[in-house]
Order: sequence, then structure tokens, then C-alpha cells
Amino acid sequence: MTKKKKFFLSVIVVAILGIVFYRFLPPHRKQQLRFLLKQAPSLPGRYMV
Amino acid sequence: MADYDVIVIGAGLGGLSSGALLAHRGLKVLVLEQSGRIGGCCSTFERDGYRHDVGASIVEITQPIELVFKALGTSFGEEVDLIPCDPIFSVMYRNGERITVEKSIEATGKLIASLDPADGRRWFDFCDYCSDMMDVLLDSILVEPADTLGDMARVVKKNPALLRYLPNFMSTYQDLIQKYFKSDQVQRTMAYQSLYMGMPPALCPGPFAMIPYSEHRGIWYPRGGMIRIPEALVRCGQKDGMELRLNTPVTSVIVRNGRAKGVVLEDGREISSRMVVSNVNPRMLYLDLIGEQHLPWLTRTGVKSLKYGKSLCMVYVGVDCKPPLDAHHSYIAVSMQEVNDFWAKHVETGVMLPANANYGLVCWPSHSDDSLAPEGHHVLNVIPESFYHLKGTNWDAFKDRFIDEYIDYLSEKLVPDLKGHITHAIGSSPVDFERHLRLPEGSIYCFHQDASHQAVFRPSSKSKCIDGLYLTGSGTHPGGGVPTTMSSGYIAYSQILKHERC
Repeated sequence: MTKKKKFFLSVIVVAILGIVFYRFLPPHRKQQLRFLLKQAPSLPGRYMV
Repeated sequence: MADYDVIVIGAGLGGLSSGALLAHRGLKVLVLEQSGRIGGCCSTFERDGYRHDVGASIVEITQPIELVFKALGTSFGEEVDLIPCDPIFSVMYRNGERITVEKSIEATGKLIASLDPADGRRWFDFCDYCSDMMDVLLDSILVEPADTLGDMARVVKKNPALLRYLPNFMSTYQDLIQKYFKSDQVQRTMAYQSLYMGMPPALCPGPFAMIPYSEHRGIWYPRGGMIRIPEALVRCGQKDGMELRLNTPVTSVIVRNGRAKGVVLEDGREISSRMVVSNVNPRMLYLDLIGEQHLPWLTRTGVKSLKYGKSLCMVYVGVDCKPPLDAHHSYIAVSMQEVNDFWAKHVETGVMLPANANYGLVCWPSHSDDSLAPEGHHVLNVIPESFYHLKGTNWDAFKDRFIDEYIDYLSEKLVPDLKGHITHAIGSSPVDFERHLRLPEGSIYCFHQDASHQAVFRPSSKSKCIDGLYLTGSGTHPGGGVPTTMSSGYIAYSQILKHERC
């Protein structure tokens, strides 16, 4: 298997595990996760304020 | 030579705390306040013989406040006449039933056991856990700077017990409450308190689940109104030479060679100083008073990304009778899911809940202090749940109808005949708070208080891009609320002592 294929395979596995994990979270944890994921890109900037 | 050692912009609790402490240390301090009243959200105004609190309605978790007054050479109890509030709150169910919660942990245990025996037993485990967590947090992160990862490491090194509770910052208020309490009715007595931190139970960080416990250590009301706390700070500061000017808006902070050198007032006058302490909203400070040209690009991006938190709508009510309520605070029982849904659906879409599905708090200050109203009369602060951005309308057009419908609902279902006894009702929408208190979007806690706006991700007490500039108030660590805002004033003071020649 080429390196490229291994990389894509691992991305797919992580994505599937993430979706399964998300499905079994209680609703309030889903709400928290969605909120924090939206905020995540801003964290490096906020650290510098 | 500079006119002052320190100029403090804003006479809120954070600004007055740091100003008074620096004056006590011998520095020449000037506090500038844009409005005609001190205290910001922790203030009181009078109308027709009734005294109404602007925002904050009680004091609890007093250790940070004690810390400030102790450093001023006095004590909180000496400076402010504190009235204990017991019972601490009452919960009003929509079917007309009520539960009143006393300060006693044992009595509350019995009350919870009457709702659910297993939860009643677990209440005492919950109290033990929260008691330890509260002591650790109050001895560490709530009174120490948390500007950088280095600061966080120092806090943990000083108090390693904090490591036990740090994972709670990534869990939620709801997780912790539901770990101990399984009954929906019991959970409904603890859902609303997450909003004391300005967040719904799903987004409020786990450590704040200690609030339903911390209230049992005591809540107090300052005799004469919440303004007695900022008044005490001004009194202490003025004894040490602190100067206070009201109705003096600042339009910009003078920055030269990367250092804050003073301020420019609305009338164009410049006042110079060695340091500047800002008690204004950090977004407003950096983007309006300082200007983007002084900020590195990553800081600029970070400032703009900060999200404003919970907005406040409040109705200041005078009544000509004793209201049929049971405690200083009464709130409408609500489930955690309802509060979460309100945030996920209504706040995001801008569509307000109808009055009969709304919830909120009725605060009765004259239950604790009868001097707030003429004899036989009382004051109430009615606080429906609300938000800033409305779809298809605006607060100026919507406010009166919203408040009327909410008072009608309270009067019909929860506080019988309230409407018939109202002598006056003054509504203050999120937009009014924005206009009068310079709170953008009417956000009483400034920014959100979730994990992505806490500690190192909240604006630093010592500016990371401008020397000689220090920040205090609800927009900095450790966030909004009376004790935490005063704590931010203490932190700014300790940062100045550490980094400047005083």
C-alpha cells in the first residue's frame, strides 16, 4: 500500500470513529462540542489578546 | 513628568478595586467614568422613593472581595452592612407549586430527599465535592493571573490540588449536576443557576456547578443597595488620595512607542500617566480607544473573534403591597434541556419565546432590606430570559410589548395579582444597557464564559501588545460577577506591582 493510500485510509477511519463517537454523545455534549469546534480556529488569536 | 501615575478608565467594580488598591500603595490615581454613576452593573438608582439595583442583585463567594478590602487595610464587613438572605431562593413551578430552599445544607438535603430519596443522599456527596473544589479554586485560579500558559503552570505548581479539578473545565455544568442528581424535579431546582455565569448548562464549564452549593455558604444583600460596594471602594480610595471624575468619557488611549501614556477625553483634553488601567470592554478598548494600527495581526484577529455573552433585559418594578413571594430570589422552574434549547434555537434564530414559555428570575431586594421602598411598598427586579439580536424587529419597538406580556403571565400564573399593585415599571432592554452602561450587545458578563473564553483565552490582565496597559473587569480573567470582577481588579493591581516600578 502506498503512503498516500495509507494516509487517506487513516483519515477515513478517524472520520468514521468521530461520527460514531458523536452519535453516541448525549445532546448537551453535542451542543458543547459544536460550540467549541466553532470557536477552535479563534483560540490562537485569543491567546495573543 | 506625567500628570498621574495611573489613569483608570471606568468606575466599575474592577476599575475601582484596582484604583483604590494602587492609591493605597501610594500611587497618584485618577479614575474616569463616562456616566454619572459608579459601579457599572453593580449599582443602584432611585425613582419616586424606590431604590432599584441596576444589575447585580446579591453577593456570594465573598473571599475575593475580602481579599481586596484586606489589602486596603479594612474588611468587607466593616465597610458594607451585609444582610444575610435566608431562604436563599424559591423555585416556582408552572403548575403553581413552589419549593423554598433554605441556607442550611441539612434542611436542603431533607427537601431534596422528599423529592427523590436517592438524590437526597447524594446531595451530601455533592456538597463535599463542591466544597473542596471551591476552596481549591478560590485559593488558586480565581485570584491569580492566567494570562499565559506559564501563569497557569505557576498556579498549578502553587496549588497542585487544582489538577484534580482542571478536567472539569472541559466538562459541563450539566455533566456534574446529572452525575449526582437523577430526578428531573431536583435538576430543575439547579438548572437556572448556570445562567449566573451567563451560559446554559450545556456550555457552562463544570466547575461552576458548585454554584448550587456555594449559595449554601451564604448570600448577602448590602443594606441600601448594591451600590454600597462600589461606594465603599471609592471611600477607601479617596482616603488614600484617589481622584474620581464622573461624566468624563475617554475617547482614546495615547500609545507612543508601544506604551500607554495617558488618555484623550471627549472634550479633546489630554491627560498623561505612567500606566493605564482599563475597565472598559476589551474589544472596545483595543478596536476603538487604541486602534487596530497598534495591534499585531494575530491579536487583532483574536480581539475580533471574542463573542459577546448573555444579554440582560430587566424590569424595575415598584409595588404598593408585600408581594406573594418567598425569598430574595424566585425563579421559574426550568429543565436543563429547555435552557439549552433556548440558546441553541432562539438565541441563534432571533425568535423570542412567548411569555408563557419564557422563564427567568424575580428578585425581591426589599425582602432583605425594607429601606429600599416607602413603608408598605416593595421593589422587584423582574428578569425574563432574553437576547440581543431579534429577527424582524428591534428592542426599541419590541420592549414594551415583551415586558407587558411577561408581567401579565407572571401575574396570572406565578405571582398572583402582581399587575394590579404595580406603581411603576421601568424596562431596560439589552439595547438600553448597551447605551447607558457601554455594554456592547447588553452583555452583562462581557464575553461568553465557556472554556474557549476562559483563563488564557480571555483578554490578559497585562496587555500582551501594549506596555503599561492593564485590563480589569468582566472582560478579563476570571470573568463576570461581583466577586470575580473584584478579583480581576486585584489581579491587575498585583500585575502592576510585579511589572512596573511602583
